[in-house]
Amino acid sequence: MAATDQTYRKQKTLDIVFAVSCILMLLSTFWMFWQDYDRQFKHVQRDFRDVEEAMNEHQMIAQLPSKEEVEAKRKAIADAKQTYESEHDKLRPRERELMALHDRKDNEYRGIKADFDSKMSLYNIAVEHVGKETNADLKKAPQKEADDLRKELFDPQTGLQKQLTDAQDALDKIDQQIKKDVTQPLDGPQQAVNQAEDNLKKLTASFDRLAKVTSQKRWKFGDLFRTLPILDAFESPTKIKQLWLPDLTIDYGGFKDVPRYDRCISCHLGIERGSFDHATLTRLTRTPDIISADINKAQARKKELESKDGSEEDIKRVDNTIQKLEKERDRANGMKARLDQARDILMARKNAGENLGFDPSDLPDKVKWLNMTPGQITQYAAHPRLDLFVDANSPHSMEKFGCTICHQGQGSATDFLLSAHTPADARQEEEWHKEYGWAHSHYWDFPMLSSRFTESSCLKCHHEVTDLIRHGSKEEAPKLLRGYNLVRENGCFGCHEISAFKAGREVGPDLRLEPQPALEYLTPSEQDKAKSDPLNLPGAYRKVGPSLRRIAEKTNQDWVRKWIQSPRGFRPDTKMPHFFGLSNNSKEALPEEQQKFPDAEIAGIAYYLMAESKGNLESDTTKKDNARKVLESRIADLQKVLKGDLLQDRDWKELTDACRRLADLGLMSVPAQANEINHLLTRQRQLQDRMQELRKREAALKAKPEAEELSADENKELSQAGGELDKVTKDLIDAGQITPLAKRITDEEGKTVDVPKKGDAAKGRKLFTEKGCMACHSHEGTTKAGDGVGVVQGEANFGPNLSRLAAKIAPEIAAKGELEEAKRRWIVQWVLNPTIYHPRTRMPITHLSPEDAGNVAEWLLSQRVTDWEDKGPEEPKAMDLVSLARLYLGKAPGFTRLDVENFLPPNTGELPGIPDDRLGNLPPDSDERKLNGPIKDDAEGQAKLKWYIGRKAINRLGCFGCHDVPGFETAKPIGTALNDWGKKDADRIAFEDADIFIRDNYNVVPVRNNPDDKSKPAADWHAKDGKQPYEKLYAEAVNHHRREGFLHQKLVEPRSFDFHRIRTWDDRLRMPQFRFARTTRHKNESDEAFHARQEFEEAEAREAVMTFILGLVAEPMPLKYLNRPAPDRLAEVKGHQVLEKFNCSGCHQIRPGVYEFKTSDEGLTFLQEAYKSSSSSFKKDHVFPGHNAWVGAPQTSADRLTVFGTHPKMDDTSYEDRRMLVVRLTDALRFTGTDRVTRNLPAASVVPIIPESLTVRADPWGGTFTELMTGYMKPREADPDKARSMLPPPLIREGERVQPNWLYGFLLNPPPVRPTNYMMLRMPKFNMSSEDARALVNYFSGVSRLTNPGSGVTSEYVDVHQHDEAYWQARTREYIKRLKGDKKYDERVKQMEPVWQDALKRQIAEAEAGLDAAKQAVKDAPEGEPRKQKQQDVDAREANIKKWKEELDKKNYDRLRKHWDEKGAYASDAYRLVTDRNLCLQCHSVGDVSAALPQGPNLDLTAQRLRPEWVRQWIANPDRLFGYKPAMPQNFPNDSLEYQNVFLGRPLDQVTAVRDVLMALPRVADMPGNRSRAPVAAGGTK
Amino acid sequence: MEHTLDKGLQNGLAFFYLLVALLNFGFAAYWYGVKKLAAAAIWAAVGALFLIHCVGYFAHLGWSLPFGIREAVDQATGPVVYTMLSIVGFIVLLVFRRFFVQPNIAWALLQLSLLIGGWAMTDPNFRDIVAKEDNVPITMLIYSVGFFTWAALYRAVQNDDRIARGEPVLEKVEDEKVLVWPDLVYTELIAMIIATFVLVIWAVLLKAPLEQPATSAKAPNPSKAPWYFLGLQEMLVYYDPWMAGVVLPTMIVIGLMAIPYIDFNRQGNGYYSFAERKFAVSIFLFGFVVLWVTLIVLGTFLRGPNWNFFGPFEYWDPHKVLPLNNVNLSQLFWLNMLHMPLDDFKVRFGNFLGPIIRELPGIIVVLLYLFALPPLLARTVMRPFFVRMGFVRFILLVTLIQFMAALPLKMLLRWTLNLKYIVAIPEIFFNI
Repeated sequence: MAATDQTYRKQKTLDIVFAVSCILMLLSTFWMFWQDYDRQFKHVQRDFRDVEEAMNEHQMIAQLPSKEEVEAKRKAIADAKQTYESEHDKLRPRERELMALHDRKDNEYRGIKADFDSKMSLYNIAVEHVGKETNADLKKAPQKEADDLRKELFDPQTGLQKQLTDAQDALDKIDQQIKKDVTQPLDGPQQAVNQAEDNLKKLTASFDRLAKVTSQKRWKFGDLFRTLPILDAFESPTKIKQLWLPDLTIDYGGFKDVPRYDRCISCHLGIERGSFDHATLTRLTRTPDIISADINKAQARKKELESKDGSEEDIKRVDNTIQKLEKERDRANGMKARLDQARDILMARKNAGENLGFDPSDLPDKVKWLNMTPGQITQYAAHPRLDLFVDANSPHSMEKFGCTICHQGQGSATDFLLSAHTPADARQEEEWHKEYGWAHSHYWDFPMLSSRFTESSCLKCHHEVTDLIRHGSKEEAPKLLRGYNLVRENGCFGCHEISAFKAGREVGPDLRLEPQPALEYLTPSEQDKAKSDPLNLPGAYRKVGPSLRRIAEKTNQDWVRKWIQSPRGFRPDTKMPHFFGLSNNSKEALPEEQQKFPDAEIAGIAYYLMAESKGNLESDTTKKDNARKVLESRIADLQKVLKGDLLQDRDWKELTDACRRLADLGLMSVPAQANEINHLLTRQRQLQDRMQELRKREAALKAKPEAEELSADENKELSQAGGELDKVTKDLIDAGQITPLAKRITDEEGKTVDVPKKGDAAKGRKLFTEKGCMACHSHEGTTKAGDGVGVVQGEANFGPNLSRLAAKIAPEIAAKGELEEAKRRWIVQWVLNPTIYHPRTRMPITHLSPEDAGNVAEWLLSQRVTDWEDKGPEEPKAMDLVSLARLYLGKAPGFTRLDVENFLPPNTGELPGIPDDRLGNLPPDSDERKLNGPIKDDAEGQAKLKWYIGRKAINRLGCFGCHDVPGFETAKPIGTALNDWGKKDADRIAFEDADIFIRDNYNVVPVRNNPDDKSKPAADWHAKDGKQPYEKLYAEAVNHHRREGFLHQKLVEPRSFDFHRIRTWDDRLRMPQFRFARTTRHKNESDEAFHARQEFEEAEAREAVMTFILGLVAEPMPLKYLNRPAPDRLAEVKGHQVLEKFNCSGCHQIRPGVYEFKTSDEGLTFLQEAYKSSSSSFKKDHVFPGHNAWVGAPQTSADRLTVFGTHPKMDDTSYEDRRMLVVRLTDALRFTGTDRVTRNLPAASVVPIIPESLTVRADPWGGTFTELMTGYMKPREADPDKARSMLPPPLIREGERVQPNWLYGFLLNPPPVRPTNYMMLRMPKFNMSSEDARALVNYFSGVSRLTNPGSGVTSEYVDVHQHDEAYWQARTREYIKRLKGDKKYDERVKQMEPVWQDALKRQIAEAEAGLDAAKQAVKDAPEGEPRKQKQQDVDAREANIKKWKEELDKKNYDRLRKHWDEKGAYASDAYRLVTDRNLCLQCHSVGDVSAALPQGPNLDLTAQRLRPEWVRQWIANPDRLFGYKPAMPQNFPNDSLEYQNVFLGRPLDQVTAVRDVLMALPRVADMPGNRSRAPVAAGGTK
Repeated sequence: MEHTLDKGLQNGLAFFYLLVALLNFGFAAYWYGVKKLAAAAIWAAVGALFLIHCVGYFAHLGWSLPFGIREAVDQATGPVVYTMLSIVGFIVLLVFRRFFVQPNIAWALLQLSLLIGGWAMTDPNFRDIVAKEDNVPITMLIYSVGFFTWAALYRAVQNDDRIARGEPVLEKVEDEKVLVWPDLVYTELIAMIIATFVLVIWAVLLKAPLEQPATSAKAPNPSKAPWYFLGLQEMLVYYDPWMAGVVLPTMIVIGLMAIPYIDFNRQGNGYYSFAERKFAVSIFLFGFVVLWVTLIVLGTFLRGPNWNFFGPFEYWDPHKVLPLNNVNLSQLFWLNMLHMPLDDFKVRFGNFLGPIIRELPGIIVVLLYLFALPPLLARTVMRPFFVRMGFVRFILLVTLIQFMAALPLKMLLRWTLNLKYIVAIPEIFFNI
């Protein structure tokens, strides 16, 4: 068709379509903008400005000063101003007059000055001209000009300069006049005005500030405009806020590490504002209406209670609530009035002309209330621990750390869902689902940690874990620490490696098994070698279970079987986990053909353990344990070869390796012989090396064209070495051999002792109770009355509960009729020296005598077990054993199914077994060798099968992770490594059908904790239809394949992932079921209540373990983020671990409690009262400034006080009907009272704290046993402090107290310090390495330096000045001066005369006694020069004696007096103080001189044991320095001047003198004068 | 697993059925308008059927597809069935095109698919996959490809009839010249605006589905190519990467470029026609619809974790393992037929010759396919082509068709003989 003007479509239609499409596009564009405007964080930010407004307003109202006061203050200002004005008015005429004068003179001055300046510049120009001009003629004119000008300027009489100074002087004079006549008289009034203004400012400053903020920060139109849609693209007040953390990168799985951006603060807007705390924000939502509604509810509740006879207590509680609410309502109602008042005040001030800096009319005229959900409150709230996190001054500031490094989640998201929030529990999950449509996100691999696991992240930087404990007892991450302790105690690291290093970087805590044998048994050079690589240090943790190397001496197969089947059945609170009867190997769970396997396997394990340990205990070589047998025969074979020929490289390596392993076996079995074994091993190695070397030479010679032979000498050497090698090897084998208890019982020193005959059970019980056993163990026997011993309710569970011990100790190895003896033997040996049985035990040597040990054994064995009748597993049938052995054999390397059919056909009767010709192919230590045929259908044949099964089972279950099992010395841990489990990819975890298992087997409960009291279980937290409660959160986590779900289920029922799966017996999951909480039953607790509590506590403990494991993420952090404590702090951190390792805190109180509380006027009043009562003791006190027992440290935060103290208890009576927490201070407390006076409450004062004001309460660490015993001793000793003095001392201030050298030695080998007959028990000797001891020494020193810089502990080492001669001379000089000054000198000399006389006599007697010997020496000496010398010596002696006798006759003591004057006076008088029967000697012995009633340590120890500073402070006032009131009295109170005739000086001088003597005791006592003054031994009069 | 339908879903379905019902009423109204009362009545009835669905879901009655049917469908489907169905469906469509191009039939098919689709949405597994934001375009693809194929055939059939009757083709009849402005540019402008509008709305409503950040340590399962490459990815099941990823795509590109040069048929240019271009249209549609689009649909909806096939209602369980016991041709030949061990070749003929001799049967088959087949075809079935195209063009055409046929052939071999590779020389990464 030809082109026309006709359009194809109707133009109008097109126009309409176009218009419509344009509108649609416009709308879609608007929609797009709206979408942007509608983003979640923008809503949040827009809402937040309301919160800010309301917050400012409420805070301002809270600070509102009273109107009257403001008026008064303002009036004062006005008055002052008026006074000023009237005074001023009086002076005004004079002022006017002077001002006029001043102005005139000033004008004059200015005129001259202008003239001067102008002339000066002209002069300068002229001088310059002169200088520049070279023509002398032309120079003249300017020269003249310059001269004139100079004259004009500087003429002394008329020059301008002179005029200027005169004018200036005149002006100054007038100024002075003004000052004198006008300004000075007005000074007073002016100051009054300033003062008045200051007063007003003080009253209103914070109010004014908040009012200003309130008015200025109100949302104004401009702000609104800028946030409008579309416009908000430009400089909007709502925008994404982010933290950029380039060092804390995110590892997106192997790609480049990407810098972290945290945008959390886009929504968490109040996170760093301290005032936005939860409570304050909540208050903003509490309108009077809401409060009224609450009141109505409470009243309804009250009525209900009243009508239903509710308890009085409940009604009272509701009443209290109502009262509180009413107060709150009144406050809320009053807000409006107060707001108006605020406006009035400000307006009035503004109208009065005050410059406020803002317009009060901008203030809101309505009280702003907010409508926020609890979620929103949390969103806007400040971080709950601003002291630790977020705040710029805190250790983890927001700018440096961001948010997600701790909390996880997707920091770059700005949306609630995308940032991967994780709810704390199912209830919150439901709320979130409703509020935000929350659902599990599977797209972010590290969703935010649920609040219950937040502490996990601490592990990223705090690798020592114990560095999360502050002040020794305040746990900053309690859950994580608990998890750490549980992992440590339960020995998770036995199977799962938890290593600190990954790719050469430190990434987490290090919990690894120590090497086998332990490092300390190796030679020093081997130890150094092992420790040489700082990135791969050997592990340090001992296996947590006992050694099973000698188990046949302790118990028997029957018991072991029952135990393995159900450890908790025998000992409910045991740490040993359950391996059998679980979800994948209980009878119900197993298919028909596997049902007999558990019993058969248990029998196998029990048999293997007994057989192998029995072998260790019998010298019969055919019965030795398999490992040893194999090694010995292999060594013998190879050595035989070596004797005849060169060893091939492979064989040579095998030989040296086998020798090493044999020695290792010895070191692990009898470490007491370590020296001998190491020596023999070295010798063996040398001999073998030499022989091999000679053999090599021999081979080289033979290889030559004309073959040569070794020389005769070398041949002889070879044969000799061969002979010696045999002997050394035999010795080595013997040295590593265990000596059975039947042959030898060894005491603590390694001496053989006799086994005591039958003992006295009653005595045994007393010993068990008192000698410290109960610091670690508990025993039901002690809770029953009888035996004349007090009842003790011990709950210690560091060691096993021994209640059923009698049923366990029944040695398999005992001969018939000798069982009782054998039982006793084992216990006695264990008590005397446990390391004989279990070298790595943490049980200490108790220092009991063999008789006492026999008594303890008697009592323990006499406690018959009546409440345990476990049937135990069935004896396996032959067929079951065969089936199981077939299973294992089929999987053994080199064996096929056909072999299994041939060797172990599934029949009963005799089986062919493995034929001899097949053995040849097996390695020498192959387990299958045991199945060498034929296997008869008798005990021997079954034994072979059991041994085989047992060994395979132990290997499969990994028993050697916790126990030292013979034959598994080199076995590797069987579990998966945990050091990066916390970030394990959930896709790589096999969840299998765990979700269904949970649904079918548990009672899924929404929340675990009671919402009202988190420490208690929720109401529905109990078993239902026999199903244990299970928290919904974890069931969901399993459903959604989150790692915490897997971990939780793995700990609840580790084998449940086998559910519904078909597995062969040995492919079933192997992890055993732990119970961490070890809950013990309370008295009179019902079964039901106990089980519910047990499940609850277990769930909490499990969560603690999870917290730890989830924290093991192996993320290398930049060095600057790692917590690297300073040396002292590190010593504290490391020492803490050792203290826990040996349960030191079981007996000793180690650190005081920490109590932090907010101060209030009421609280301060109580403190002032305490100060008043405490001050009665101040008169007597010596004060050591700088020492924290007397002077408190400055408080770190303004609104709270931190108190360190012991013996916290609630006191209901002493404080005006208030329930107060009372604490005995260990450190002085400095506080500023209500009267603004700062006071020091010294240590040992008792401080009351209002319990509600406590923000931190960490009770003292340690001393449980001591407290237990003070209760136990009450019948004998009512005074608890006295009782405590007989018990293990507190170790608070231990670092200040003792010398490190002494402590180190003491820890490794503790001698008795206090009199053994006074003390109830004695420090046992721990199985501690020197490194452990050093760590403890450093701990105490470090703690003292940290907590008490004023204590004088400046380094670990001590410098004792009292050992220096110069010190004594200086002191003596001072003292003589004092004596002379006091005119006591002559008197003293007189007193000294008899002493000198006596000393002289003694001197003569001693010299004479030596004379005969000297004469004899002359005779014996050979002729000549030597004899001459001897003769001279004799002559000299005789001359001396003669001289001294003369002196004695003439009573001439000049020589002695001179000595006394120079060196002796101070020491001698001081020594008299020490030896005064009324003082130290009452309780302390000194050397051989014993006290009447020895209670304290022998003072001879002091010089080695104690630090001089501490001794002085201690003698000065013992009370201040101890955890409880010590028995030691204050002998030299500050307010009395006693003993002046003994030692002249102020009390503190006396204290110092005593200290000096004590620090140099043996020396001072030996000084000539003092020997005569030694106190009479024992029984002296007072 | 969910057994009940949540309210939101039911409301959505109700809304969907309401729309479809309205659509049918509209269609009925159209027939009523043109006075075809029977059709009008039928479509009104269909509309009513949908309306019942709509009411049922609005009332939250929770109707869902019976489990038995879902199970049966899952059981019945598999790659073989799927591919066979698509090929058979394709052939039926072409053969019975006259039946299918009737608007009522096409409409009926559409309604059927919407009905079944609605039912299928009640299954959570189906819903999860179909409703994924990035799978929405594939659903649109199904309908748009279906529509355009239908539209083309519709026109083609009409034109064929006209040609048979000796009338000019429709394109000729409608051949009007229009003005650039406003007819072209104005409409283009409107189209652009509407496209922008649609894209904006789409972007707002179906947000980009973000998953976890990429990591080298962890590949998503299933790992899928972009949707337009899912056909290629499906080829990877049957061919080695060098073949499926390099050779075949190259051949596709070359083939598409070569079309104008190969095409010797002067008829059927500028208008739709099937009868005049039977060969060309069939081959192209086979290549595009069957070998490309249906494989994309297969790859999107039916390939799950580990690239396993999952029925439309089956849960995508990553733990599902399917038996893979495919064998190579060499094994079939030497081991199964001649009982000769395969490892022996290297020993006897060395590392270089050994594999080649071992793979000789496969190599011969491939060489025969590539070089013996074209002459054979030229002499037999495709003789007219050869005559008209000349040697070079004919060889090019046949080679391209051979490569295209390679995929279905290999599929067939896999399904029938469990054949993995025809030639397998893993020593040099050469497998066919």
